[in-house]
Amino acid sequence: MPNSQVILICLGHELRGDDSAALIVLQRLKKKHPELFSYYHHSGDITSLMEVWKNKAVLIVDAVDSRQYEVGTILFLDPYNDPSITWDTKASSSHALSLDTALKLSSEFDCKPSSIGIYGIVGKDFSIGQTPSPEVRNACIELENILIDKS
Amino acid sequence: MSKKTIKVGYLARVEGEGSLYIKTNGELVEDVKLKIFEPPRFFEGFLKSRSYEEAPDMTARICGICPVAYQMSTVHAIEDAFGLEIPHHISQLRRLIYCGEWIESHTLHALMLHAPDFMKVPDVLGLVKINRKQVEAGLRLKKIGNKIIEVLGGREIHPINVKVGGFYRLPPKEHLSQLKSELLWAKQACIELSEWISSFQFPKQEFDYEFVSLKSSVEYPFNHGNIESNKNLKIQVSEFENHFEEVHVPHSTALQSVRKGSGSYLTGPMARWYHNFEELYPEVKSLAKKLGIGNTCNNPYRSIQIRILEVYQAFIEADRIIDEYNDGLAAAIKVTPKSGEGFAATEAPRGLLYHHFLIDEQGLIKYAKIVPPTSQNQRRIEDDLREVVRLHINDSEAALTHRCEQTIRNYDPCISCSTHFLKLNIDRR
Repeated sequence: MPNSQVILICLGHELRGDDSAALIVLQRLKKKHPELFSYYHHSGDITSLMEVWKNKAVLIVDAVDSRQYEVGTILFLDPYNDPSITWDTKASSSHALSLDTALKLSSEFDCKPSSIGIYGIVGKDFSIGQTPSPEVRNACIELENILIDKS
Repeated sequence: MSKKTIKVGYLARVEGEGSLYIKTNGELVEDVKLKIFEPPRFFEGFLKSRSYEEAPDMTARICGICPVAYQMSTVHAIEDAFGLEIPHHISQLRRLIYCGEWIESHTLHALMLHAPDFMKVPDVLGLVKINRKQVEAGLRLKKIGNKIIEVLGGREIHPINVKVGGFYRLPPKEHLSQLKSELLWAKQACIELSEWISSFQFPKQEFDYEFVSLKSSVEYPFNHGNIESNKNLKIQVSEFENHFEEVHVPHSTALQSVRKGSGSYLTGPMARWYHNFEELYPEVKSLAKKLGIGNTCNNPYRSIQIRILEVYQAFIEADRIIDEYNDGLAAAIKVTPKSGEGFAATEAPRGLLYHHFLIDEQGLIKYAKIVPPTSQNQRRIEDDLREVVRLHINDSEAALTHRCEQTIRNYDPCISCSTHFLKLNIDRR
């Protein structure tokens, strides 16, 4: 499959410190290698992703809030095939459903991606108005190289 | 006497960051605090010294779900300051984009986030197992709402086509007409969804609410009308601050809006319904009647029914506006800035959204005041919770927590908008 048929979906908020990790990856990659992926910056209603990714090969990049891993760690999740993943579809807002919920709903309504992998960058400060931490910035560059190598 | 504290450390299915703290002492409810700890966002400060032209795109960023409401209140307040009269076709298209927002916001909240409370399932995935067809329909309805916003606004989230004086460009009629078949389906789907939701078991709880909303004599209001209350108040929008004030409470980063001299009030679907029932389409009134809903609903748990009936109203309205729309009209009127003071209130999905601007002769904003609906409802939510906890004080921790969360979700609160929201702490002693 030509690489550009892989959709790279980046989630996050550019004004919330380490939550902007995925956007940094997207901006760097798109500038240097526009041909590598179909780039998609998602902001807003996550149910719309169900149409974006239906039957498509998809990679998702998002920030991760975790006490288990050091800041800047890059995680890879295979959501539909890794039995160790626990789903938390309850924790969402009145305005937006979570990525977990969108993935589960896609499964229910036959609009799953043909393949999907999720890269997570562990952050530490997601406060509004903060800049990304140095560890996360370095991890973004590392992930950028991983994605180039794999494409 | 037993004392207890209930803490909902993090309320799910509400927007933003906040928590609920309830302290009881035997049969007494000693304290209820809706603690809002999302950081203040200072939008009113950001707007100072910025051009009026930037304002609609800035205020849209206050909320990812109701950006149209912020844009509408902003442009109407600025147009009021400039003394502009907006042509009928632009007013109609503004109603249309607002229809899209009500549809997507109400459908998401009612079906995906509020309905699970009534079916005793934790989330929408549990609902799929109970009624797959309605969840699927809900997703499709929401998508149509988003599509209306996209066609008129340029994109579905934070639309970029709204400006003071009108729109940057108008869509060809053909693009709107392509939505017609979906609108036809949606109207029937709303009837079925309303019937299903009306079969829910609603807690029997009524309050003597002060309903505050826009009141229009010609349309179910989005952008126009006076402000009315069922407790003896009929005012122009420009008089809002004479009758309502924002007060700071230590446990919240959001200001709470209260009616001067009386206190909490309710804004949103139930208030709109009360004041504007006669302006609903006959089909909507007829369906409401069939479902046993009159022009007054004082049971907050039934707000989910009103939301879906408003979605039905919005689809009929959208269909009418698209039918009447023609190509070749001006996208906007000419705007010449001048110094002035402007006021506007529009009806966001979750209630009245008030804006007040002072603008100088260059068109720079010197003062901005924004009162979002959740700020206005926050005190009323606390009042509801106080009574709900009193009535259910002997329930188990889990049952009481669920009831409190459900009570908060009756309001579809947007904490990000009000600066603004949730976690539950119940302290029983």
